[in-house]
Amino acid sequence: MKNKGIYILFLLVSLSFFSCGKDKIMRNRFLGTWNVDLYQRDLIKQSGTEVLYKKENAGYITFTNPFPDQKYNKELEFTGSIETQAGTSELAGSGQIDDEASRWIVYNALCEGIGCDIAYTITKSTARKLEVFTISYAGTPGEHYKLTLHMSK
Amino acid sequence: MKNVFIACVLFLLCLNGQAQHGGLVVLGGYQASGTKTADLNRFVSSFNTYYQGVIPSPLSEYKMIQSHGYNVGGGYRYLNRERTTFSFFGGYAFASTFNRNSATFANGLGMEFAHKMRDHQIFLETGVGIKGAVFINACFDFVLRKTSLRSATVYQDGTKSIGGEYDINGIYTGTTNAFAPGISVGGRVWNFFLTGRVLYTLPFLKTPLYLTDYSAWRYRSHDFPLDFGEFIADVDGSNQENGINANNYNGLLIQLNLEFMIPFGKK
Repeated sequence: MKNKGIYILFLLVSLSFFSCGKDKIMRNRFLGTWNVDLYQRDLIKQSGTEVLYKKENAGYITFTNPFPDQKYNKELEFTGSIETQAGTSELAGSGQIDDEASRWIVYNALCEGIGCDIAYTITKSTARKLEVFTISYAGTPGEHYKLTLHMSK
Repeated sequence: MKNVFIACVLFLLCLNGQAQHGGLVVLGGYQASGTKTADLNRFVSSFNTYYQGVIPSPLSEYKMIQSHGYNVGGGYRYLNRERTTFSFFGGYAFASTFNRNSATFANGLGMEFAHKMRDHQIFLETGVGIKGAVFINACFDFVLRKTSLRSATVYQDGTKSIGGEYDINGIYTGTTNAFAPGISVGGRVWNFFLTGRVLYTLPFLKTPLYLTDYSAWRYRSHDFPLDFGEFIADVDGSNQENGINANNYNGLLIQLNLEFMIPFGKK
């Protein structure tokens, strides 16, 4: 009986150390084709938030794993099509999930004409729902654009 | 649900009357984690100084005990029920403690700095048990602590962003291993123990390990800054010594736990 108890304790301690990285779990959650339920651009100001563009059922995004043979990678490639205020935008790019599974980082995007990565803050992620947003300068001090994407499977 | 409740009651009744000296324990309770405040408060004062005049609600100074949370775990405890003799406890617990510090600017924007410390603790303690009722033990714990600092810009509509629009935004992390000596006292009623533990975590490595965020792209350093003014001035990230050392997230550690023993072994 005593040995049995020690075995159970050892098992519990071992299990607590044995867990999959949350960044990889999040990456796997992204994989697949998502319907873009909401594409919205807001202007956030001190006086209030102004909705600049809002489109429901705006298109789709498909995320794939570019290195399926590599066990520990957290990279993502994506393609898709979204209706933005500028018209239908065809998407193609790559990125990754950050170490803390809190951001989707898109490589080599354009920030005011200069190549940079864009970090989308993940606000909701389940097997069927994904919500992200990113903020950029609006040109006037204290004012910012917010781009929100709500996706579902 | 009813069946689970009946099963739990029957299980507890089965344990009643057993008078073993030791057994497996499951534990849970409150934890407060201390930090060394000098470096953190240098960041706070430099941040508040940099924004002096446009920051009606500045960052607060950090106190020695700033993070509060919980710990859960289990282990083996020995406490002789009849005689005054040695007592022992060995086990493992996971703990998570948290603190938040925020500032608001005159234009309605804000910054929020949220620390989370996640500990894997190995408990090792031994001392004297007095007739099965109370014990006083010396602790020789080991603590693996992962600290994360979520630095977010808070917009006028309440949106909290950790994106790259400001270089300071991000999730900075650092891990330390520490030896934690201390003292533990507790008492036993039936198969329940109420324990209090006071420890001091001493990191093994003295070399600086900065809180870093390498995931995000930024112009400046990937280390969370020690001095905010220097961070802003360092536009190309060449200053590699302006970081908060992860070893700062060590110090006093206080736990108040309730334990339940599943007795086994010799009566």
